[in-house]
Amino acid sequence: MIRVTNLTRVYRVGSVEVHALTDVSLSIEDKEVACIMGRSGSGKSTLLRQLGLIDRPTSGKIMLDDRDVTDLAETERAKTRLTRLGYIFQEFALLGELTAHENVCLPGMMAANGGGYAKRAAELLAAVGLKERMNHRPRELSGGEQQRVAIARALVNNPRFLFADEPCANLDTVSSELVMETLVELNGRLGVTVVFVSHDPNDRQYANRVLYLKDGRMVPEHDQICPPDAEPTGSRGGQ
Amino acid sequence: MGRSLGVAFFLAKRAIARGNLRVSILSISVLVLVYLNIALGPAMIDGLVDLINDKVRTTVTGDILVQPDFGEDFIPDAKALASQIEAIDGVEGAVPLKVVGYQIRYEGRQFTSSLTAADPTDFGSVFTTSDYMIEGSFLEPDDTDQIVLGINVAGADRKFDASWASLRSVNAGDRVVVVFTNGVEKEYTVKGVFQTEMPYSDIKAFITESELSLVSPEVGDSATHLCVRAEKGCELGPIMAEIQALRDGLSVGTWEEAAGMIKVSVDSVKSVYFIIQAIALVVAGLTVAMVTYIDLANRRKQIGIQRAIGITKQTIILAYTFRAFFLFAVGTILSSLVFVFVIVPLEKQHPVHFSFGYILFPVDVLYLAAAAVVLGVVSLLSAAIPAWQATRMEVVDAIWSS
Repeated sequence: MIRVTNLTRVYRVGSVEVHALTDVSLSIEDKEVACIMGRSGSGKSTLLRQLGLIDRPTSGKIMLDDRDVTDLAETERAKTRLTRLGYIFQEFALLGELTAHENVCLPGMMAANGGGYAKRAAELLAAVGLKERMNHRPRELSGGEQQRVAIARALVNNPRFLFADEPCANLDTVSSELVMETLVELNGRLGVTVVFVSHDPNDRQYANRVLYLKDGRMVPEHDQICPPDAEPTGSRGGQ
Repeated sequence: MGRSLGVAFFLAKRAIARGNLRVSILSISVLVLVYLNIALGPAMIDGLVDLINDKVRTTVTGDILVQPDFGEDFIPDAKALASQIEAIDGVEGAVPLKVVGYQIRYEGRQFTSSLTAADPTDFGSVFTTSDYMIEGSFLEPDDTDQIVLGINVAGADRKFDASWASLRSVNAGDRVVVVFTNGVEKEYTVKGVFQTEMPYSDIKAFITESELSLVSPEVGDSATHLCVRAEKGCELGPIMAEIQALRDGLSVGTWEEAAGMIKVSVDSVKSVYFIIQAIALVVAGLTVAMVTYIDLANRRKQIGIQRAIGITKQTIILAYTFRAFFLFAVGTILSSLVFVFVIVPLEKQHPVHFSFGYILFPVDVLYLAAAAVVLGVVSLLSAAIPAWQATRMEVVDAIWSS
């Protein structure tokens, strides 16, 4: 379970303070697929980075499975990211010098509780439909294929939570559907809690819970009848 | 730690095999040039120092110099003493030398200095001056009325730095007038002219012992000093002690003590070069650091991604350090091979000419190893420090500020 209480993130740009998140509180149950939606600049990605322990909040508290992870030391944060969290970036973020299989293996190799990570990496790549592309390097894969490699990489250590930051932002419609279906299928098959960010209203269909952000604040559920970010169906692109 | 090492090694291996080839080639080229610079400089200085020392020993002082004690002008019974010295283990030869003041004149020019008289056979057992004849030949034991001049005395129609002090145009076969300090004036035929390229030596002039006994019989069997040549690699200390014990009234010193000014000059050159080398190492370190830093700046996002997926800082730093070690090893091995198997043999065939003669580059394995260790440490630090700095950034900054 993820529980966030009064989370605030303030960036300082020169002498100006930018409040990216203000007093955000939420909870996401185990095995849920939660979608965070909102306009560009509403703080969706910032929130996901706090949950994925990639950024540190200015104040507030983040609990993962009843463990306070807000102020963990960097070594502990790295260990938590490695073993309990999976993170999928908007722009794929694969390591160009490694093949698809090696990219997926890398976190497994680092965690390595015994062997078997190579086999698991191969199974995950097969599960995301890339069995035949395992030995290709990222530049030899399409955007959709790269994103599916990133999904496999995020899952190699059997994480409890999977965070995806606009995983389809750089993909065409067909690839987007494939990626989203893959996420939902893995949620069902592996029981991993999935939190993804999107600004495409169509993606709500993949979530069993939708959270809205506006100007860095959570929009109360009773105000969510009319989604604040209603972009045309099928329109995709980065924030 | 084991896992970190394994992952770091894996990342380094892949970065080397599949990374930017141009950056790797640039880094290796920088290391090759830096290492060659570090290896070549001291080799030249060592070669020059060896050359100067060798010239001093073989044309000016010998290995050991025996002089009369302070207050005495001559060593009596010099021939007998030379025979006793030659009997000492490790001594290859000993020659009594008689140095007298003289003035030499030729076609309106004159030059005043000191003239050395010696038995040419004994002289040849200690000195190699006769190997440097550029005109005519060296003296024979029975030669009289003949003189051999250094290039700085004769001039021999050659242009060189000290020509202002010389007779300028004396060549082998020319007749010169010599005036000794006892007032004797005599005409000599120049038998030969030598050029050792060592100013201390090239300012000398020689006549035979037999000739000196004709013009200055009062000198007799006395010598102003004796020069001794030791066998190669022989310890001079015990030989000097034995010479000292032969009789009272002797002052025995090494060639280094005798050629004090030269040693001071050489030491000064070495000190200056040590400073230059230290600066070269700092420049080398900065160059390697710069190449690594530029490479790392381009990989900041990659470092951020690695950290975001749970790779530890320690692992990332180790990966860059392993990579730097590989580049350093390739660079150093390559430049060592180039130095030992290309530059040194090539230089041996076409030696570099300095003002003291042709120098050869000695291969000092210990120095090369020490230079490699220093460069290795510099390379590793040059990779580890920027990598450490890059991993200090927040993950979010590393990924999204790139």
